[in-house]
Order: sequence, then C-alpha cells, then structure tokens
Amino acid sequence: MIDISWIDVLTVSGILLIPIFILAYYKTGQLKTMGWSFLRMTLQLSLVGFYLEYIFEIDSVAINLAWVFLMIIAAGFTITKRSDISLSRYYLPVTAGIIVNVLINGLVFAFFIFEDNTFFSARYIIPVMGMVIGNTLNTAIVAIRAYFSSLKKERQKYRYYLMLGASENEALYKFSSEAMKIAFSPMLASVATMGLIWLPGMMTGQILGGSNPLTAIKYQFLIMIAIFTGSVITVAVTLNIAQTMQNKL
Amino acid sequence: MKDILIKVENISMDYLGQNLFHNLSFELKKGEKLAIKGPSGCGKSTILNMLCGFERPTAGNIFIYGQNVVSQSDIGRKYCSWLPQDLNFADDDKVEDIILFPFSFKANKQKQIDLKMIQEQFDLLGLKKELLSNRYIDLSGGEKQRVGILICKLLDSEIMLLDEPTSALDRSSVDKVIDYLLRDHHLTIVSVSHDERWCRECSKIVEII
Repeated sequence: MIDISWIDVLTVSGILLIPIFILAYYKTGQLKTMGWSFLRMTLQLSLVGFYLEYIFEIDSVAINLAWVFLMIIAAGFTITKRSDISLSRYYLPVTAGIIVNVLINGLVFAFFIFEDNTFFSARYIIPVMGMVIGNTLNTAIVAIRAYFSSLKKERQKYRYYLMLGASENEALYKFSSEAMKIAFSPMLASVATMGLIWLPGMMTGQILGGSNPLTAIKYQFLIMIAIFTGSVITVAVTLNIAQTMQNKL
Repeated sequence: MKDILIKVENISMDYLGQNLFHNLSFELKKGEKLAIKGPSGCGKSTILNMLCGFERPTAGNIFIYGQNVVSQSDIGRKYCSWLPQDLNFADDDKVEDIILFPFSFKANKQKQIDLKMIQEQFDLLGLKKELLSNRYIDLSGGEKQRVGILICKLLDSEIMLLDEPTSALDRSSVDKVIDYLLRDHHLTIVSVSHDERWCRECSKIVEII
C-alpha cells in the first residue's frame, strides 16, 4: 500500500477551507465546534495510532479485551451524554446495552468466523469491535433521544394510555417502538444502497490495503450484519432497562 | 355512604403560589352526571387529573368506592376512562387500529370487541364508517373527540372523565354526543363543559369562580 507523507496529509487538510467558508457564509455558528471536533479527532487518532502500534506488538488477549472494555466504557459515556439524559441514572443501562451487543457479536465472530482464538488477536478484535461499537453510537443516540424527548413532549399521551388500561410498560411500549423506527430507518436505507451509491469505509480500506475485493466484500457483509444486530440489541436493552426504571413520570 | 361512587372532600389546589380552588366538595352516586364549569385556568381539568391520580390536591381527599385516590394513585385508573382535552396525538395509524389498541393491553384482553360493534357506535355518534380506514392524524378535532368518547365507551368503565368533550363539534354533532352519553343510565360522568344543553342534562353542576 502506498504510504501518505505527513506533508501530503497537511496539504490535503487545506480542503477544509471550503466547509469553513460555507459554514461561515451561512452563519451556522458551527465553526468553533468544527475546529474543536477536528482538533480532537487529530489528537485522538494520533494517540490511538501510537497505542495500537504498541498493543499490536504485544498482542496479549488480556490487553486486547481490556481495550474493548475501555471502548465500551467510553461509548456508554458518549451515548448517555449526547442523548441529553442523566448520566448518573442512565449510564449503566446504556453500558449494559453495549455489553450485550459486544458479547453476542464477539461470540459469533470468535466461534463461527475466526478459528482457534485468532479473533482475540489485536488485528481482528480491536477493529471489528471498534466498528461494531462505534457504529452503534449514532443509532443509539438517535433512538434514546427520540424516546425521551417524545415522552417529555407527549406526556399526555402516556397518561392517556395508562387511563386506557395500559400498564406502565405497555404505555411506554409505543414510545420505544416509535424511537426504534426513527433510529433504524436511516441505517436500513444505507444498508439497502450499499455497494450501489456508496462503498463502505472498511471495504474500501481493505481494497486499498491490497486485499482481494471478494474477501473485502465478505468482511463488509459480516460487519454490517454485526453492526445492525448490535445496534438493535443495544437500543432494545437500553430502552427496556430505562422503561423498568421509569415506572411513573 | 354505600351507594356513593365518588366523594371529593374539601380539596384545595395551589399552583405557582396561587390558590386555584379552595375546599371544593361534591359526591356522585352511580349513574349521576356532573359538569364542572368555570373560567379558563381555574383548575377544572386539574380536578379530572386528580381523579385520574395524576395530580394530588394540596389539601383534602378524593374517594372512589371508598378508596382514597390521593394515597393510592392507581385507583382512578381502575375505575375511570378519560378523554383528555388535547387529542392531537401525531399518530399515523389507522383509526380502526387506534380504537383496537387499548384492547391489546393485558387489563382489557377479556373484553370482547368486534368491528360490527364499532360500526354501530360510529352510527350513534354520527361518524362515517369509512373513517375507520383513515389515518388518525387526518381526522378533524371533532372526529377525534368522538373517536375518543367511543373508546371510553367500549372500555366499559364505570366512570367516564370527559374534558371538554364537545368543544370541537358543531351543534348537531354535540346533540348526538349528548344523546349518546345519556343512553347509559348506569354510567357515571364527571365532565368539564360549558355546553348549555349538556349542563342542563347533568344532575349536578360544580362552578369554580
């Protein structure tokens, strides 16, 4: 694979002047956030790059699992924070949702796809789990936000269901169902257009790295199944725990 | 005391430092109909919310069948059905599904309901049967009110709590709804309403000043 020089990376970053100009023209007020986001991304990617090089070199199952655990903790924090819900109250339900997702997907990858514990090697477990957890973030945030904001806005509807004879869980069920519909529609649309309108990052990366396109497609197919299944599991577990915690508004 | 279904005993309500009502009391026997009147913002809907168990009075007690709703908030849910004032839920489900939805709840599973029964009630309320296949979100305010009343009726609760049940209806539809509500002599109704005919038909009036 052809390496990219740091000077090239810096030069190409100049293309960001275009979005800066457009966002400034439309006065979206996002320039500061944009600067901060890209700065964070640069720092985080550099750090992760150094870390991963080190972790890949050691390649210890315990350290790899600890890294996945760290990703789970960070993801739980990000989802709860970005969903605008109480961190102290909902951090554990959200993290429990991610853990169930990681456990199910991890077991499937470890026992059905990779043989002889190869999955636990750093070059597999970290990118695969990183993609599964990372791609769950957006869907989970959309679902949890939609659930809590509709509950807040449509409190009367919740009460109405209770008066129609619903138990608390039955009354909340419709809100969960609506939130899931909102969260999974974009993901399903992107799954349906994959390969036609856009080529996913992992597959493109593998092809650029010199892999056989057919092998890259098989990996991409499996990873998409894992991401979708994982997102549905995370959201379902989180909303179910949140539901039982709520009892009454 | 035994045949008293609802007993509201000296309830008061303060909201944002203001006294909405003070020492309000009334009693209703089975089959009696009550209308609560008063200017907007005086706490009429709050009384219905209290009977539902959603809000607590700052003083006083509310009993349904001798059980205190103030200390056991789920008592209201056990005996009452409720038509809230605002039925503008953004539901794009079909009207038929909206009507059948409450019967999917565990508490209502044993209640027998079929399309023929719904269609008969539609006639009585002056609703066109074709509406059943329309989306709920596309109904007018008056149609939503009548569908709401129909759901309350099908649930067959002993007490109906109706918040401005005819506010979005034209005169002939109001009369149809009133006739519909008066058909059942055993049904106890607590309503918030300013409709003259409905207030005349009610056995009791509570006026909040």
